[in-house]
Amino acid sequence: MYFVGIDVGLYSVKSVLVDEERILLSRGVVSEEEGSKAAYRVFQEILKEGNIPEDEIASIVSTGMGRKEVAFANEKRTDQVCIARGAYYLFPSARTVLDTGAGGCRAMKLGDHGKLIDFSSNSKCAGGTGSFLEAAARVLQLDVEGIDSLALKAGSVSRVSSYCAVFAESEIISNIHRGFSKESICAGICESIAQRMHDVLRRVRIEKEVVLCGGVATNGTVVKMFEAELDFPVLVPKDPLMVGALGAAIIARDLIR
Amino acid sequence: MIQEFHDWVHNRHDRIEEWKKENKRKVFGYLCCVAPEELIHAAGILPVKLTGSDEPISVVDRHVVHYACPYVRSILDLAGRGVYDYLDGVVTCNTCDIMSRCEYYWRVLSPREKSTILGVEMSPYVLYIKHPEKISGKGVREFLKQEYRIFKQHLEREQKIIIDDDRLSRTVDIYNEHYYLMEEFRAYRKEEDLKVSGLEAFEVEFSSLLMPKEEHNRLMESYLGELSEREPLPDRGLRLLLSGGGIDQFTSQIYRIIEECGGQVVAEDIGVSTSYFCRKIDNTKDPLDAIVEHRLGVHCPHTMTEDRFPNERFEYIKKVLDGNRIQGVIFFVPLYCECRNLEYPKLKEDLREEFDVPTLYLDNDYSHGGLEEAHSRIEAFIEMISG
Repeated sequence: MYFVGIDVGLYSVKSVLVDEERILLSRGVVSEEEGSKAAYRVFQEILKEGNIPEDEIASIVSTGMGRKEVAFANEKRTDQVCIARGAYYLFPSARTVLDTGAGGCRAMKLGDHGKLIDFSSNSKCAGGTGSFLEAAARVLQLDVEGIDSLALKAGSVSRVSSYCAVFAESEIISNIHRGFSKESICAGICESIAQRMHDVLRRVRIEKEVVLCGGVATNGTVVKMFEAELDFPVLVPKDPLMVGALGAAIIARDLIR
Repeated sequence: MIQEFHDWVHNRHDRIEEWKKENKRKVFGYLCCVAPEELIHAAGILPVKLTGSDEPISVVDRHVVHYACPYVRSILDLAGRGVYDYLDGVVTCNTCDIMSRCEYYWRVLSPREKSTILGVEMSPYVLYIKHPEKISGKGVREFLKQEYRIFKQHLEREQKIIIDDDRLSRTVDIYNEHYYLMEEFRAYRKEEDLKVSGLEAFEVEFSSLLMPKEEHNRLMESYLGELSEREPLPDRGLRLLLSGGGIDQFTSQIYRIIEECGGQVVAEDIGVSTSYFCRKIDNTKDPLDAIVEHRLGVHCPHTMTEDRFPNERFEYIKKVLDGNRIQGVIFFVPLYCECRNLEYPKLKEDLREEFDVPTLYLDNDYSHGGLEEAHSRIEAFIEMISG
């Protein structure tokens, strides 16, 4: 029997296929299609790749902000529940999880057996999220990866003090006008995101081990700066974008069990 | 019966105006749970709770800062737009900083000419009552009684009557009957097999603050009879306490969202609501003394005792929750509400320790955009508790 988790996020749709024992496949697409179409396409692609007939899928769980659009899913679960489940599956020592995606930043506290016992998230502001990283990249005429590679070379940090993403963007522009190097501006952007992430995480009381996932976790500089904020290393999955979809797939498996 | 409560809540301005025309009586609005509506009732005036709406703010920005409580801003906006023009008087008090300034704001936003003698209004359109900052300690009762005496004199001048002890005692009886019926109603919300949804209970309580008490009492008697025969709700939902915010149209949206997500509010600690109904007025005492005592017992985050921490508030919440078997607490706090936000960290810890239940904090700016975000979080919270 096979189980599928589908995570319909702000920019991308991710899917994970598992069987009774292990993770088999994962797939993600960045799509401008509407959520239901993109989810169905990713689902078909993962079946094709795994050479699995659709009728052998025992259960499908959807998650993410577009989870309600996935009509073919058997159940729908919120991001917090799925991310907590996925992170605990990958790292059973995890007690606190931070997911920073394009659409938001969420902190989750895990209790015994990985049960979600508390959560918090950013509110009404894109500061500390992937969307802010994208907006900052646009201002600097870079791609998101470019911010990471330039920040790594920075000898200093041009600080961004504003909490609000819109004001932070203005601050970045004024740093450009003041003649600061692109490298130091990029480092400032990464530091600002790491600080906002830390603020969200603190609301659930930080307990080791901390897992960091979501798209922003692919930015090595942000991860490094976030670890500096915490003063200890964090656990980052190999594919940090897939944690929600993985959690959904594990929940799909548990539904049948 | 519930349709009548629902109608008063959703068409409140029209219903109040109709009532006023039909009965040729005056209507006074009051802003907070500590205003002595019994005195207004005894003067033969209909007391109605002032509430905001979920419509966008349009005129109040010229007068009130953005970082003021959105609940009060919404009420003042309605006043500025003339929605509350049917009122013959407004009672404000000092339950928080922004509330304290409402006497001024109301006069500016909804000006009204009144007859004066030597520049002094004989029966002011907007009345201010100073409620003690601390509800226990030396001189508190005497202070409030004096405030109520002055307030009573204003009402007497407005109505050209004397509010004697007989009038007050008749009002106390009507209000005590109301409190008794509401207490009986509250017992239904403690039942394991719920017969009343949170939203329905909310409308029953909210309507009682808008319609004449005598009318509400009469409807309640039939409604309670209907309830005793009613089958339990098909979906019980997760039992939740809702804390924060006020009783108004906007808060009703959060009940709807909670129910859509699989929860059910079985108890509240929101502005007015339970704290307002759960005590009776001592009818063996001097009526004014008894009303003072009753009002000092109405719980609100503003009410402080000599204790530095909100321990008395927690003791009150414990009483509200007695027999309610709650599984979680949702704090739904208006943005910039200093009263609620100051007590929140301590209450959250106390609730967790005493009841071992998770809590969710949501702030709101009285906008529909914020409700979508609240929907996602409430859904996750209920999923978290359900496991």
